[in-house]
Amino acid sequence: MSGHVEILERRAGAVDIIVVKGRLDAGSSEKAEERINRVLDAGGRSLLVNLCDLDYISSSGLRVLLAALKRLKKDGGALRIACAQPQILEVFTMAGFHRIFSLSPDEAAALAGFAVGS
Amino acid sequence: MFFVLLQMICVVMVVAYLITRSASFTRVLDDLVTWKSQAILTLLFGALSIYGTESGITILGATANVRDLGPMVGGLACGPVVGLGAGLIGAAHRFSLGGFTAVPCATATILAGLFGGLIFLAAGRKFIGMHGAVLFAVGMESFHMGITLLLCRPFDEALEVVEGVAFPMIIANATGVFIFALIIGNLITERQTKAERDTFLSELERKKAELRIAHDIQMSFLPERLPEVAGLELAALSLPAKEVGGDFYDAIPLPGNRTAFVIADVAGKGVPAALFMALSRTVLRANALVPRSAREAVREANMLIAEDAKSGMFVTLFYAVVDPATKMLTYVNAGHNPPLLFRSGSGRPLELKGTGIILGVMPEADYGEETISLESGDLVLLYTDGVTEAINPGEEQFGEKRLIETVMGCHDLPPGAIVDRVRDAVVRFSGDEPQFDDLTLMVLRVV
Repeated sequence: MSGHVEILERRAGAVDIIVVKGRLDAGSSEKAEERINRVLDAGGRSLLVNLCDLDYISSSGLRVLLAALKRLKKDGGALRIACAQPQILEVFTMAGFHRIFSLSPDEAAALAGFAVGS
Repeated sequence: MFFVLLQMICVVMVVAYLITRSASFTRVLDDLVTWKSQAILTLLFGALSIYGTESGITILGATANVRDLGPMVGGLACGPVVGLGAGLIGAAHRFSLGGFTAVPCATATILAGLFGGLIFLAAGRKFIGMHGAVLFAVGMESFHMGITLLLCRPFDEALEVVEGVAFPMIIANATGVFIFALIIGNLITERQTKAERDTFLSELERKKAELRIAHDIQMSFLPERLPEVAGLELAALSLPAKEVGGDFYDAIPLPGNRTAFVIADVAGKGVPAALFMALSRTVLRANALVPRSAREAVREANMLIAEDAKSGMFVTLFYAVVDPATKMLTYVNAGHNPPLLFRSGSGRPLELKGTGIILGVMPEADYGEETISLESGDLVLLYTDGVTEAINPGEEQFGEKRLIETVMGCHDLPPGAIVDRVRDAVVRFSGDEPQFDDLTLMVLRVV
């Protein structure tokens, strides 16, 4: 299994939006990490990760998000997660991620969050 | 004449093969020319030039020949020194034969080597390639004919000779250069392929070695055997995956007959994950041994680990201290998937849920702890997500439900047998799917 993950990239003003769909697990998280790193390498400082259609996340998936967050924090950037589904939120809660990530119910709210810089 | 040309082509092929396979020629391709290798190549291409003269067909004292071939190829492939040197050898030999075309023929041969060498320099000290080489041969031979017409007198005789030999000489020299270019081109491609293959193989070898090292580090940080703990029966198992690694379990004897049980999963793979696992385990052990509460031990360990965590490394950890005297289990769950407590004689297991954030991300994080009272016959199953997230060929996960059913089906067996049953169930479920994540289990039973 190479991981059924689909990753799309968009931009909204100065915000890079990465949409991750499907499963973010040991088999697919490397691909996600590469894509995110490419955006950050290109100078992206505001990253919105849209998880509306993410069905599953494993610890390797959490690691990718955490690595992105650490990198952005170091460079004075920001990362917001939008629209995580209940089963994803459950994993986030178990890991304690809800305490270190800014979670927004949807993309619009997350974009608004970047705007006010919170 | 056709047979003479054919014979000549055969000789050229053999000579081209031998020269290009010589050590001196290899040095040229590697850009490591020495005076010695240049001298050897000059002699070889010079000899080819003499052969070119000797093998020619004589027409009115002039010969249709491939004397220019050696100097041309020597220059094109090895540079101006070899080209000019071979040209001088061929020219000296031709000049010694005399005849009314001796001067222009000798001159053309020297120039053939020189021009070839200049093209080599212009191409950036390398062979220009087949098309360029053949084109050069055609041009060079036409030029050769031109200076013959220009320098030889009487003009009528010169014209007669040129009319006779021009076409066969252009064709023969172009063919010879073509053969050389083909063989040199093959050689260059062959060496490139070999270099790429070597790089690929050494990369593969390095990756394999890295995986082996990661595996060895990981295994060396797992307990060789679990300690004897009064009032408990224990069993544990860890099956590392090929690439993803970093699970560990531990049983640490504490003062007062108590024991700390640990199961943990480092997110990441390869050597970095294995080293992070070794760090986490050591830090945790050191902190467990200081007399303090479970939550303080984990909090301290987290602080130290978080300071060292790079690029999103983290570890999920379940840490439980069991006191056999009071049968109390106090645990801290730092983002690890909840262990299951099967109460003796009752159905559904209890989940020992999270009491804090994963280790390594928030240095100042605080952790809660829970205490539960154990009873004789209770069974605690600690596991990592490699168990529940093992997938079958239909991409279904093994899941918690199957895990619970498996354990409930063998609840009364010794812990060692329960561990085996779970492993067998997961392996059977996965079928031919590769194991993606480490699979780690620990079973405690209260006697």
